[in-house]
Amino acid sequence: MKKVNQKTLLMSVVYFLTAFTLMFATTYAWFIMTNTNNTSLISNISDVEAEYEFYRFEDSYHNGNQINTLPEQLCDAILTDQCYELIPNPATMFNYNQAVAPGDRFSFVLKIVSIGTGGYLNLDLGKVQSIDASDTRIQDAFTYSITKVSYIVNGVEGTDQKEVLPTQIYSTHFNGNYETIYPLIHHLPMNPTVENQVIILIYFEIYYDPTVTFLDPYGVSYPDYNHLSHQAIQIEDIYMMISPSDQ
Amino acid sequence: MKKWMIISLLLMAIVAISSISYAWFTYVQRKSLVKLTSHEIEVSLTLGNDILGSSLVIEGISYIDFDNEVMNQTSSQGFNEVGQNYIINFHVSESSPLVKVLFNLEHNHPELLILLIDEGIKESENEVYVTDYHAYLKQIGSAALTKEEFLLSIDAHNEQVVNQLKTVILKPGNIYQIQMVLWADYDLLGTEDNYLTKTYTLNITCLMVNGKGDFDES
Repeated sequence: MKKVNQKTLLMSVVYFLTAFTLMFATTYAWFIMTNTNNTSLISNISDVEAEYEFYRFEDSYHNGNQINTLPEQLCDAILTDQCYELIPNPATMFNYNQAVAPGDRFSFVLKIVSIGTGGYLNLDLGKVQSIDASDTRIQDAFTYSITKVSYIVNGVEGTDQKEVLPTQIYSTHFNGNYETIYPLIHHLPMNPTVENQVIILIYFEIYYDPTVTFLDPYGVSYPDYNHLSHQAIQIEDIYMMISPSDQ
Repeated sequence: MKKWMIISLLLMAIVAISSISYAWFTYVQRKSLVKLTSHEIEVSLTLGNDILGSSLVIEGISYIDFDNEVMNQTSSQGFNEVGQNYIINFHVSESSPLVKVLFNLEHNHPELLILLIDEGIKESENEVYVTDYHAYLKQIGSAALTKEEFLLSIDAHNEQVVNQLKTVILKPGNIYQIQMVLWADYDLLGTEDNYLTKTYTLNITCLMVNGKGDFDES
């Protein structure tokens, strides 16, 4: 009888340790995966799977990309300007090493490989802030917009689909506080065809708008943008959420 | 003891299952985008290795006979060597944004002959500059029949060099170079002037706007 109790106690300890490890690992994974509370519960995620790559447009003249054809504009050992450079680790914020000025435009592409057969994509920008700002914030002068959305089916990039429903695109100036979420594109079908694998290209840009009027603390408008000099705009997060419905 | 362990086990199992379910249902990826920093325009104007101020005083300039040494002469014959030449550097700082430069020279000396040569963006330390000014001038004034027309052609050429510069968008670290060569025409020297002691002053204007801006020249 004593031997049976000892065995039961030993099993309980093993179960306890297993449960503790499971809870610890799950909690850790939970924080690693989302690290945000701005999500809504999605009831069914089956059949939705995606991989992604992130590119920035290398443009020494800061005009942005006017052509928007990622497959034909990839950088290589020879072509290093006016081309798309893969950002290998998007978890680390890209610190643009050239100073920016009003009128400058910066282009990016998110390439998503949809492995499943359905689902809808939402992209949002968040945690936007002006570094070294005082009375005025440089982020108020920046806008963002979607410039093109296309699908690559059987190796061929299709036409611009950004205006096709149910997709909704957004464009606005940054403002508000650090916690504001800025919608970029919502309800984008992951795979509008019945193909097994579709590549989605979402082209967007950030623009330093030279027409914004800033007021000083006395209500007088600044004559130029020199008051924004040495400030930095930092866009810390881009959120990608995939759901099985377009709601 | 046993009861306590069972309750703990149940609680941890519930927390684990609910956490993993929530994480599974909320498939969200959060990635960083970009940091962009603004900075004021910084362009330094140098003459050779010296900082160029708002004016330039020139002494020891060589006097030439424009008709005989330029118009009627087919080769340099020493004309190139007596020209006083300067390399004007427009150096954009590494921390500056893209920039456009408007440069202008003014003076009130009719005898002063100025030739501006657009040397473009400096690519290396061993730049090759124009040295045969005589041939360069002959090309500029190839259509001129009179001295006045020739001098007007030189003025138009200099204006073209200045206009070209203001359309070029200079990147951080770029050095744009203009070569300036000076002579004085003895025939246009005033009767009261002493060419042996005369000094010349050039007034220099340099305006800068960011690469997407335009100059307000009104």
